[in-house]
Amino acid sequence: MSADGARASDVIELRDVTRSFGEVVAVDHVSLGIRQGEFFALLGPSGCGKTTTLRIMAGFERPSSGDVYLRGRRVNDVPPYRRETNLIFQQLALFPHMDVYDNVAFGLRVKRRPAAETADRVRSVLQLVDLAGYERRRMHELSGGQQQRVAIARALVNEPAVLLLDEPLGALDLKLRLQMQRELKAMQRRSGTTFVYVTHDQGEALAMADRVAVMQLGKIAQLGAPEHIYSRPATRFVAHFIGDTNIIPVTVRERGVDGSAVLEANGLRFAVTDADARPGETRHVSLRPEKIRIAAAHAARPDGHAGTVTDVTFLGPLTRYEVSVGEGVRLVVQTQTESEEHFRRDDRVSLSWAPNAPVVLKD
Amino acid sequence: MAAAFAFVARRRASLQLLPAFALTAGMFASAMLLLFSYSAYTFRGGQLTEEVSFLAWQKFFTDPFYFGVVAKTLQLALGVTAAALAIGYPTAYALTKVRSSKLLVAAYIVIFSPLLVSLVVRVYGWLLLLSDNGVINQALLAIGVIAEPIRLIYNEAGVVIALVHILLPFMIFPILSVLLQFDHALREAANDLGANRVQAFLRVVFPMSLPGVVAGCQIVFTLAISAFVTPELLGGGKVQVLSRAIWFNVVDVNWPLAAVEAIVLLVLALAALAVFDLAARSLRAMRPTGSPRPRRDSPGGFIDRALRIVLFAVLAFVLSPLVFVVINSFNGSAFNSFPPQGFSLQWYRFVLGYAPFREGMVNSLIIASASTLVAVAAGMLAALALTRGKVRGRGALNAFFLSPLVMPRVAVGIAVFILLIRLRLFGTTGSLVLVHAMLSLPFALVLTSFDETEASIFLVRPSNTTLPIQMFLYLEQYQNPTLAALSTLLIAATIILVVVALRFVRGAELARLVARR
Ligand SMILES: Nc1ncnc2c1ncn2[C@@H]1O[C@H](COP(=O)(O)OP(=O)(O)OP(=O)(O)O)[C@@H](O)[C@H]1O
Ligand SMILES: [Mg+2]
Repeated sequence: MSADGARASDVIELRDVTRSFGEVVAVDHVSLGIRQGEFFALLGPSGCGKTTTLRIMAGFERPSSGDVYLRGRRVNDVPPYRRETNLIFQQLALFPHMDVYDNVAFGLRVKRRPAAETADRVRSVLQLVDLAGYERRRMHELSGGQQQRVAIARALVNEPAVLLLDEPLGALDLKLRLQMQRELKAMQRRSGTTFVYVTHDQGEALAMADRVAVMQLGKIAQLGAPEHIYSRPATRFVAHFIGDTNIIPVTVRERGVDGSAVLEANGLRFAVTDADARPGETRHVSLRPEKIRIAAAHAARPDGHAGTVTDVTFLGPLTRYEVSVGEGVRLVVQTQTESEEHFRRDDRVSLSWAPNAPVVLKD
Repeated sequence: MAAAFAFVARRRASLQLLPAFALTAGMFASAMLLLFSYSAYTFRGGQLTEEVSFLAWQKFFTDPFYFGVVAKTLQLALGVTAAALAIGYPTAYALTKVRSSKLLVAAYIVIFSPLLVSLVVRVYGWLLLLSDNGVINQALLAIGVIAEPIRLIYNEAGVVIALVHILLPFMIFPILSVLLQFDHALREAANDLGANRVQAFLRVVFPMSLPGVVAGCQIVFTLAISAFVTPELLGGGKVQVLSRAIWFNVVDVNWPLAAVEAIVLLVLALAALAVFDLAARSLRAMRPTGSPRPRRDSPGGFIDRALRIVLFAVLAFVLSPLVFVVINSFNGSAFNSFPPQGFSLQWYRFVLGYAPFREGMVNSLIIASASTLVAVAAGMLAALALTRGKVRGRGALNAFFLSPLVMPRVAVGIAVFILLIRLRLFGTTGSLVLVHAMLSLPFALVLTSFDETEASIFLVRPSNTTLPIQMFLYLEQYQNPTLAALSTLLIAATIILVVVALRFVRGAELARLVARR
């Protein structure tokens, strides 16, 4: 703990930060700490407050309440040009009246660094982003991916404590996007810079980030490692937003001392290993389609739930079934096309899953 | 009949272009050619002869007096351009910071109001403000800052002040339109990279607004280089510029020398245009990569307050001559004295009774409305053909139609004057209508092809016509509040005209037109 109470391991920390624009509360009591050297993703749908959160970190928005700490120092009143953060804007905001070199050298020049040092650092950062030889190009003479890399170089050359990126790949087509994802991740590892990466694309967040914060309506719905958020979503919103899932409304019937419970949903009764809920409560359960085993009715396991296939979709390596079980509960099931048995519409089947597969959600 | 239709259909574009072409070729191009040819005539012993010689050219290029005149002309235009830029840039910048749309609309109207008021009225306003017993000197004397009046007028300072006043909108507008398109994210990017407000302005905002600066300087310089009324009335005979030399030579019937001077002025104007064009071309690579996005609120500070003060100072500067003209029109004294000595309507009575003004007013109205009709009709037809039809040499035609705009007014004036005299049409109302239509055509063309019919109100201003000439002549001889009364009537008429015209434009559309953001 430093003198004013920020955790020393966090490069940047938001403590109970709220930002409202008139009636709209863009960021609602957000607290989070970002660790040195990590790749942190802020994930959420459009309008959930990601950009505002990032702009608060960069110093372009002041919190209406709450505090921002940068390397343990409270920076609420520090303007952007005196913060050790750099922001990569969604529209890149490259200077069109300058060439690549001048764009990248901009930060060092306004900080009056010696010319030789500036030249050195610009050269090595252009190497890092694979743009050596492009120094004299104007912005309109570059491809989308190259402009992207200029923006990254222009920020990285300042060796910021944190690099803030606002949907930096949003404007690129899918193929370039995937390539740039890999490159960005590699650059982050090579430079050791802390990245805060805003995106509304869950695949991007899961693929790149060490930790992810899922935002909803200005609040952080869940924060954790990608695998954890995927396998143990906290709310219906998170479960839905991250990947495909079955959300089943349930009532808690019994609860054991070890935390296990028996749940019931429309004639479907099943046990779960871990449920933080009281008997009689109604909740929702998330059950990922690939966690459900499907078998022919005659080969049913004892814990199997009898059902009927109502729809089949062939997805190449995967096959997706819709199965009606219990009294009209529809579950989506996903199987490996190659390695598993195939079924057709109206086939009688039996579904089963491990007791740790269903996740009892908070809402 | 069918054949005739087919012919019209096939030749539609050509027929649409015909009126504008006839007007520009007949009134402008031929007059300019005639002017050029006059430079080879001979003026000897106070007589104009048709003997071909290059005496006028020789005189112009060997007499050091003319070298001085050219130098003075360039120096004045440069000074005016620099001053207009120094005032216009901060003003345009301050306008982009204005949040209140009411204040914004008011500021636009004030800044552009000088364009709606006759040149002579504006010059007269400066006489009232700057003369020895004018408002500024009397105020300074009253508070004891000075012991005796300081010379603000009948010297170069007065001319520069008045020219800057008149040309300021032409500087502000191009800069403003570039600044309004500025992508606010670029300023934030500069801040983010460590640049404070001043550094961000110097390294990003200003360099990116250079195309607007160049465009503004180009217009102001080109207009300043050929200004005539202002140096003539406010220069006290000391500001010897080319346009005045032309005027005197025309009066002396030394047309060959006047022609040479007009050609030199033309060449200077074209050279200036070319230089500025070159500068503009070298800036063309500066296109933003993203599309401009609405700015977010940034905290106001000392700089914003300073800008606000600059804005109000400029608005006061722009408005003051017009305000004092109105005040002075009720002056009880005959000597433009300030503060006014009592309240009187005598000057209004005199204006309405003074025959030259009455006739001038009637003539002005006839000529203004007729020439506007001709120009708008010809301009709209030409714009239709140029924008919709398939016309070969569209660029060249456009340049041809717009060329009267580029030529110094004094040069055009003397050329048309000679042409009309040769055609024995001088002094006829019809010829004046055609001249004014020719001068208005470029505006009509530009305005209609940009689909801003509302802006055509600028064409119906009661200036440029014979009433201002009467006023000009009067102002050269007498100085009493008569002109103030007449000017106030003109200002009132203009306001009524603008208000009526704006009635036809829906409020929201006006706001869009004015605010453009
Ligand atoms: N300057 C502002 N003035 C008023 N409202 C604002 C402002 N900035 C953001 N908002 C509002 O705050 C909310 C959050 O906006 P924000 O830009 O942070 O969302 P976002 O998560 O980045 O969305 P997107 O994915 O669409 O970029 C939105 O409802 C937005 O309209
Ligand atoms: Mg955003």
